[in-house]
Amino acid sequence: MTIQTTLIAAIAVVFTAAALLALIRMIKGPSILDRAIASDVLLSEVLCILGAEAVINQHTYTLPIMLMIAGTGILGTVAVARFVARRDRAQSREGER
Amino acid sequence: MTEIIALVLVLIGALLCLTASIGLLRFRDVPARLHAATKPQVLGVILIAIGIAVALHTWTAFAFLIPVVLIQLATAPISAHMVARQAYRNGSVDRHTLLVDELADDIDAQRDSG
Repeated sequence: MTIQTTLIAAIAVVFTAAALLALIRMIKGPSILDRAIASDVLLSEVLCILGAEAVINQHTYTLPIMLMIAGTGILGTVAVARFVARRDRAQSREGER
Repeated sequence: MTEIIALVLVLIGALLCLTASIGLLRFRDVPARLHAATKPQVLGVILIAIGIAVALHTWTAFAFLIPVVLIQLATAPISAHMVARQAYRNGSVDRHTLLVDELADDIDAQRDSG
């Protein structure tokens, strides 16, 4: 077993563990903000995994996908944060009545 | 040799992702989880981008990686700031863990001034 194979196996194990832990938090998460953070972490891990795949297989096909994920990744978290804001304002208005 | 350097850089980036996920699972409230979560979004992506640049070393890869890193540097603080602001207003922050709460003073001052 060469040193490259060992390193690739270690990278695969570490990324799998990281994604599974983020998924556990996304399922358990007590509030919607915890789930938003967990999905943000999972998305950045997908970005890192695509980069690792480009390094391991020595090609550039995944680089445009990385660019698109980096550009649109913010939208989900910001949308969830705005949604939470609107719901809270409605609740406080009901509390005043 | 360059391949081994690139793989080691990718492995360090992967370990950063793992520490972020462990922090996400172990920490107690939203700001603490956010503190753990924003590390791989910037440092992990930068390390893996350097790894790709070392492994491929072509100008095409470099031209793709610079905007990826710049966009991550620009957008990670925006989403983290919005989530933290909503967590504060929502009451998801554990008040006993805060040593200094300057935002509460500011909100009180704004309310008093009308």
